[in-house]
Amino acid sequence: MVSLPKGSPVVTGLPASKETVPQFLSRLAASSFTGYAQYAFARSTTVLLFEAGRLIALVASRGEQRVSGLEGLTELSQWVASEDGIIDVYRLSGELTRSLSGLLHGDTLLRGQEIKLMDVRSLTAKLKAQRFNGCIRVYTPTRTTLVFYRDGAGFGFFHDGSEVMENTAAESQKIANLPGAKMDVLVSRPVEQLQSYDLLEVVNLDKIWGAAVRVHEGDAEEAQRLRSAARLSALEESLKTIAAEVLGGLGKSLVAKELAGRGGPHCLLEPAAVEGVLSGVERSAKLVAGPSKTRDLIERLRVEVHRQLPPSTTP
Amino acid sequence: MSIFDVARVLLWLLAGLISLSFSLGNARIWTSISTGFFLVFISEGYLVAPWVQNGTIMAMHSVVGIIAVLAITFGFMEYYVFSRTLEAVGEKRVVYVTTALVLVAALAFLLVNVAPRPATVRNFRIIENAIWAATALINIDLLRRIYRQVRGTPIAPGFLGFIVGFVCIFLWRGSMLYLQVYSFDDEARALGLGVPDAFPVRVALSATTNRVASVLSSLSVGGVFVYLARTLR
Repeated sequence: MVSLPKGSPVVTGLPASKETVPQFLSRLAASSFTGYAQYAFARSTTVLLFEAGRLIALVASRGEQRVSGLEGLTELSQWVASEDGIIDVYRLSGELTRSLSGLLHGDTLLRGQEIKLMDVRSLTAKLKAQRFNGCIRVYTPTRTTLVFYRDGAGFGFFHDGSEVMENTAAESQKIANLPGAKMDVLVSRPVEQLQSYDLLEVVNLDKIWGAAVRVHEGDAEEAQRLRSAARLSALEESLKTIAAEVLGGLGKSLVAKELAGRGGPHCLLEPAAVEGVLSGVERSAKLVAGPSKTRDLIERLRVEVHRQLPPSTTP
Repeated sequence: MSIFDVARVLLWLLAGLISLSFSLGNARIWTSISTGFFLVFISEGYLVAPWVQNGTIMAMHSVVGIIAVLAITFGFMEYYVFSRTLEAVGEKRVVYVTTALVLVAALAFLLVNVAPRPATVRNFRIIENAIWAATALINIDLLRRIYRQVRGTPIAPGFLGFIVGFVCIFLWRGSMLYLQVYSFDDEARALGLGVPDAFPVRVALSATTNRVASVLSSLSVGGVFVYLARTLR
């Protein structure tokens, strides 16, 4: 997942569900914001870079998967619509924001390397020899710092709490010396290959958001439908078992027939249909059992229906 | 008339009354079966009827017997269909009216023809026994199938009882059919058709089987209806 130093905080810990994605991003755009916003969910993050209110880069990542642009906005919208998350917004300088944009779109050369196990001197020598453009990210679970390289030489640092590119390496060295510190080596994409347009201007974010909400509601409805179907199926089995106890296999068939004749166990949600099923079972049961046994059977079936589907759960 | 005949008639009277009352108080699906068994009593009633020597009435008894077993078989077929499809349709009144109409038509057929002579009456009885013996086998198989379908229900043992009843009926009717076909029966002798002293053991065995099975069949059918009445009420 994408992890960046915190920058100068504008908003932190804002519930992602507080505003819709279009509303929130429009607000950042309208305020000519420069910096980055990060949505953090349980299993995913999305980093959005703004420069003077223009959305210049976006990377949505879940595990090893990373998507950007329109695809990233779609993923972000779906996560916001369906998951709990928080938003942090950090102000940065324009230069730092553009540098981060190159990194977000770039490739990863090395990932999650234990610094203690690395020969850092040799690595930097190699980067210098290769005239490396990009950055080294040094991080622990709670702290992150970036060391930017241009043509193989380090030219700036981005530490937690900074708004601009720093010149001192002290913070980076401090984090690198922390137990369990790791590093990534990220290749920056050349400026000419970076997104030059405002993503918010070229996508219909309202439509993306609307679709995400519909999908989520559909998922919720589908989940509810499956839960309901499972519950009704269990009730059908219970009714068959009770009927089988009194009328053997024929009882089971009677219940199945009456339910099938009314469109399946779903009909048990309708009180009138329940009565129809019971009266159908009763009518046929009388042909193979006495009135008292039939009455007992119908009463047991009725109690079972009410036990598993209390009247308050039926329309 | 032997003691067996009296017992047989009385027991069929009992079975017929039980089945009729059962039919009146129960579901439509039982109407054909119970009406059929009641008609068995009517068909057997010639043994104690005062007009027993009237050819038309004697032939009518046999016709009633044929209609009885056809109604029973039809009823079991209906029950089998119900046990497979769980659908029971129709009205009791239709069964009663149809049975009555068939009986009237049969009587009309007898009345428009010459009064049956003893040989003709014997022919009717042979036909009656042949139909009973054949349908008894069909009914045994039908009842076996019904039992498999309704096994586990309170009523299921009743169908096993009916199987026993129809085995007895097959022996009762089949043994008499054997005697009649080979002219070993009393009527054949009376008509001069008999073969005196031929196969006395077989004849005696068949006659005994006929008497015992006739009583057992009425007993088993009556017993089944008592069981059904107690189970379904």
